[in-house]
Amino acid sequence: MSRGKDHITPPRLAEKLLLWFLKDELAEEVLGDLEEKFKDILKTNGLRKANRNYCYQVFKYLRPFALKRIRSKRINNTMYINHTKVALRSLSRNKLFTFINITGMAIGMSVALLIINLVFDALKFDQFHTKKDRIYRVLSTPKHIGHAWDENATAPAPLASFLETDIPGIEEVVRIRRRFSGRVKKEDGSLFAQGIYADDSFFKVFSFGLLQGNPETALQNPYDLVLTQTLAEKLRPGEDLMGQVLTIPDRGEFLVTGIVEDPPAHSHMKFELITSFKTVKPLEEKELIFASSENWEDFNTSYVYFLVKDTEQIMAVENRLNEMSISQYASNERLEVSFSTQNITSIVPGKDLNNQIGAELIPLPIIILSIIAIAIVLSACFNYTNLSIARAMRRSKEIGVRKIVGSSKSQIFIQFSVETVVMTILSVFFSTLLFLVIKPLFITSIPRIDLIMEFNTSPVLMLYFLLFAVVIGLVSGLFPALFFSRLKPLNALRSNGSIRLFSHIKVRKALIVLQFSLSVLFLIAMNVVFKQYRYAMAYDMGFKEENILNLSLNGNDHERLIAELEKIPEISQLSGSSAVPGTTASNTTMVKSSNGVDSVRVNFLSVNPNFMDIHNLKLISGEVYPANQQNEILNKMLVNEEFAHVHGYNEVNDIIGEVFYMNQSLLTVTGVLEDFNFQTIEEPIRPLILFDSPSNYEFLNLNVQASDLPNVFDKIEKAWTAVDEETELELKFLDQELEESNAFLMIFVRVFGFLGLVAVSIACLGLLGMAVFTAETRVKEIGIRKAIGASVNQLIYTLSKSYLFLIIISGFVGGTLAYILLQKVILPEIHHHVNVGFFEFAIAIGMLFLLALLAIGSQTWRAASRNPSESLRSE
Amino acid sequence: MFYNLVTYIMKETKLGDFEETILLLVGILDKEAYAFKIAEEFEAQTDRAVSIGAVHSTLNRLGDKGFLTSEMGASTAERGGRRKRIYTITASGQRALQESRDFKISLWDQFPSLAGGNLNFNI
Repeated sequence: MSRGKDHITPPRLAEKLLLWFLKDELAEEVLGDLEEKFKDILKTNGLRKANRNYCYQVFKYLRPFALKRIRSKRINNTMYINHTKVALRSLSRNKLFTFINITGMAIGMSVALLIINLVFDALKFDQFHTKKDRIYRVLSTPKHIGHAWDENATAPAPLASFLETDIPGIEEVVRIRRRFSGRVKKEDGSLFAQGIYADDSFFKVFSFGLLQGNPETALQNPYDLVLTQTLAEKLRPGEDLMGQVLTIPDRGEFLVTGIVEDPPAHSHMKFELITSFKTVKPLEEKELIFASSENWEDFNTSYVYFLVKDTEQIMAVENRLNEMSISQYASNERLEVSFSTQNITSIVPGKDLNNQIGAELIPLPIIILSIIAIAIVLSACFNYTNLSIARAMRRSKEIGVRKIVGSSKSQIFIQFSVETVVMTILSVFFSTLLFLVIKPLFITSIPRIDLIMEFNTSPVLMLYFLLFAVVIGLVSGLFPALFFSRLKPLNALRSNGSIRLFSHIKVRKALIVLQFSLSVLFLIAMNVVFKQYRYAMAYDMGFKEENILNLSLNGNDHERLIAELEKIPEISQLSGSSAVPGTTASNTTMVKSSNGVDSVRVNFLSVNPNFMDIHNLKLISGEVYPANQQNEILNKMLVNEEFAHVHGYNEVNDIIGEVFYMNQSLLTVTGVLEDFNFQTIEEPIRPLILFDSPSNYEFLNLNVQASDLPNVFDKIEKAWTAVDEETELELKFLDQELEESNAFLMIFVRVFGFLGLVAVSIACLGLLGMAVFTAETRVKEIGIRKAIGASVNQLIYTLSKSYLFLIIISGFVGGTLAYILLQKVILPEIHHHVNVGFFEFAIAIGMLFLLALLAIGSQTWRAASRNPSESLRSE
Repeated sequence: MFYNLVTYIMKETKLGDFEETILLLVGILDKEAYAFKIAEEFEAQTDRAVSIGAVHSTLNRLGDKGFLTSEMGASTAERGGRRKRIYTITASGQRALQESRDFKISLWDQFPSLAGGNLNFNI
C-alpha cells in the first residue's frame, strides 16, 4: 500500500545520530525544523536529494551550542590511587576469595606460561636461516601399484641436476646424504662422530655459521671435511685443525677445510661432520657405501634442498617436477612417483614423513597443548568471574552509595577493572614463581626434551606473557565490571533480596559445568594413557626380553670386541645386530621379487644367527642362515610371516628358496620367522627381512646368565676399555630399554596427570568459593529451617544438591568429550592400543565427585551445624 | 555573584553582520520566526545557502546576548507534530539594530566623495 509523500520519513540513521549528540532540550524543535526542511525538498527535488540534505543538515548541527554536555570525567591520578586502595582493601577483606582467585589464577597462568614457552620453542625451528622463506626441499612419494605408499623427506639424488638445469628460477641446489659417520682418528685412539654429505652450495643456502674456512669452497673437492666447533675441540684441544688431514677408517683420509658452529638446538638437521657430496662417488665405487647417487629409483637415501629465487614460483617448480616424473618413470609401468615441495620452516613442526633427517614433531600435540593452556586459563578466569558476581550481593551497597554520590557507570566500571588488574598482577607474580619451580621439574620429567627445546625464557617472551596476563585480567573482569556498573542505585541500596542477582545463576552454573567437564576430561585421559602404558609394558612382543644386555658399538670393530667379550664365562651367547628389537624404527630398504617388477619397502635387521636363539624367535619353516664369517657376499635371508603374506605367499613354506633383489644383491629365503614386534607397539608388524651383514652392526646382544651382575658389568667394562678407551661404555638391559621406549606414554601420564591436577584444583577452588557464598547468603534460611526442625544432614543435602547435580552433568559432558578425543583421535595413532573402558570413567568421575563433595561438604556442614539462634538473632 | 558580574561584562554586545541579518529577518517574519523559516527567508532574500544549524546557532547566540527571546509555539503536521521555537526581538535587540543602523549612516555621512556628490563606483 502506497502512503504517498506525506508519510515518507527522514532517514532513521541520521535521526538517531542527531539525537545521540544533540542536547535533549533541543531535540523537539530541531527535529521539527529538519523534518519541515526535508518535506520541503522532498516536494521539489525528490527523495534522494531530501535524504542527502537531511544528512547535511544533521552534520551541520555539530556545533558547540547544540552538543550534549560531555560529563567531565575528572579522572585523575588521585582517583586511580583511590581505586587501587579500595581494590587492595576489598581483596584483604575477603581473604578466602582472594586466596581462591589468586591461587587459581597463578596455577593456571604458570601452566599456560609453560605451554606458551613450549609452543614458542617449537615454532622457532629453522627460523635462524636468513633465506628461510626461499629454502625448500623436495618430497617424494613413490607409488608402487598395489602397495601402500608413504611420503618421503628424501628424494632421488639425480633430481638435483634436473632442478639446476631444467627449471628456471632456482638459485641453488644442495644434495645432502645422511649417515656419514665413523670413528675419527685422533692422536691417541679415535672418536665416534656422525654427519652428512653435502654439496658445496650448503653454506650459501643454509645459515650455519662457518667460523673458519671459505663458505664458497669449503665443500668443493672430494674428501673435504668441515667439523663443528665442539668436535674440533674434542679431537685436538686448543689446536688449529684447518688444513690438517683426519683419518676415518672405512671412509678415507679427509682434509679439514672448515670449522662450523654447532647447529642450533632448533635446527631440523644436526651434524658433527660435513663432507663434500663429491666424496659420495669414490666411496660408492669402493663399495664402502651403498650406490645411490645416480639412481632415479632410490627414494630413501638423499635429500634435495633448493633455494628458489621467487617464492611465487614454487607451484611452477612442483608442476615441472611432476611433469618430469611422468617421462622419467615411464619405463616402469608399476611405479608412479609424485613430488612436492616443503618450505624449511614447515619441516618442524610439520607433517609425518618417512626418512626425516633429524627432529620430528607433528603439529597435533602442539595444537592439543595450546588448547589445553587456553582451557586452563579460562577455567581460572571463570572462577574470578563467578566469585565476583557471587560477591555482588555484599558489594551492592558500596556501589549504590558510590552511584548516589555521583559515580558514573564508567567510573564504577573502571573501579572494578582496576580491582581485577591488581588481582591479576598479584597472580602474575605468584605464577612466575611457580613457573620457575615447575619448569625444571617439567624438563627433567621428559627425557631428551633438552635436545630439541631450549626453554629460553627470554625477556620478550615475558613481555608477551605480561600482556597476556593483563588481557586475561581484563577479560575475566569485564563481566563483573559490566554487571556492577549497570546496577541501579535504588535497587542496590534496597534490602538484599530484591537484587536480581540470580538472573545470572545460569551463566555461573554453565561455567562450573565447563570447569568440571575439563577436569573430568584430563582425569580420564590420564587413566586411559596409564592403562595404555601398563598394556604396553605387559605386551608380549614375541621375543624374549630378560637377561639380554645390549652394548652399543659406537663405531668400534665388532670382531675385536667379540673376541674380548667371549673370554667372559657369564656371557652364554653373543650376537651382533643393526638395531635393538622392539624399540625405535629399524632401517628400511627396497626389495624386489625375482620376477623383477615390484619393489616393496621392507624393514631389515642385520643380525648374526645367534640373535634368533638369544631372543627366542620362533622359526616356523625352513632354517636359519649360517653366520657370515668373512664379510662374504650376502645371499641368504630370513623373512617374517608378514613379508610372506605381502608377497602373496599364503602358505609360508612356499616362500622358502625364493629369490629377492635387495639393491644389487640376490637373496634367497632360507626360513620364515613367526611375526614379532621388531618396532614399538605404536607400529603394526610390517614386512621384515633378516640377513647377516656385519658391517651394519650397531649393537652387540649378550645373553647373560649370572647372579652377580656388578661383577659381570666390571668384566664387560674391562673388555670395552681394551678396545676403546675414549668412549664411555653404553650398556643396557633389553627389558629396560623396552621400558624406556614406552616412556613417552609415561610422559603423557605425567602431563595429563599434572594438567588434571591443575584443572581439578582450580575447579574445586571455584566450587569451594561458591559453596562459601551460598552458605553465607542463606544463613537466615538455614537458621529458620533448623529452628523448625531440620537436621544437619537434611540441611547439607538442601545446600549441596544443586551442585551435585552440576557435577553429574559435568561427568557426562567431560566423559563424552574424553571418549571422542581419546578413542577417535589419540589412541588410533598407536597400532596396538587399549580401548577406553568404563573403569577409567568410573575412577575419574568418582575422584572428582569425592573432591567436590569435600569442597561443598566442608562448607555446608559448617553452615548447617551452626546454632540457629546466632544467625537469627541479629537483624 | 562575582562570577555573574564577570560573565555579564564579558558578554559580547556587538552585532556581527550575519547576526544583524538574522535579527532583521526575525523582525520581518514576526510570528513565523523559527529556525527553519528564518533559514528559508535568508536563502530567498540573499540567494545564499545556509544550514538550519548555522541559523540556529546564531539565534542561540543572539539569545545569549539578550537580543532575542524565544518560546515554544504551536505544532503542525508537516513537522511530525513537533512544536516550534518562535523567536522575538527584545528591546535591547531593537536598540542594537538601531545603533548599528545609526552607526552605518554616520559612516556614510562621513564619506567625502559621497558628500561631494560624485561618488564613483567604477561601474
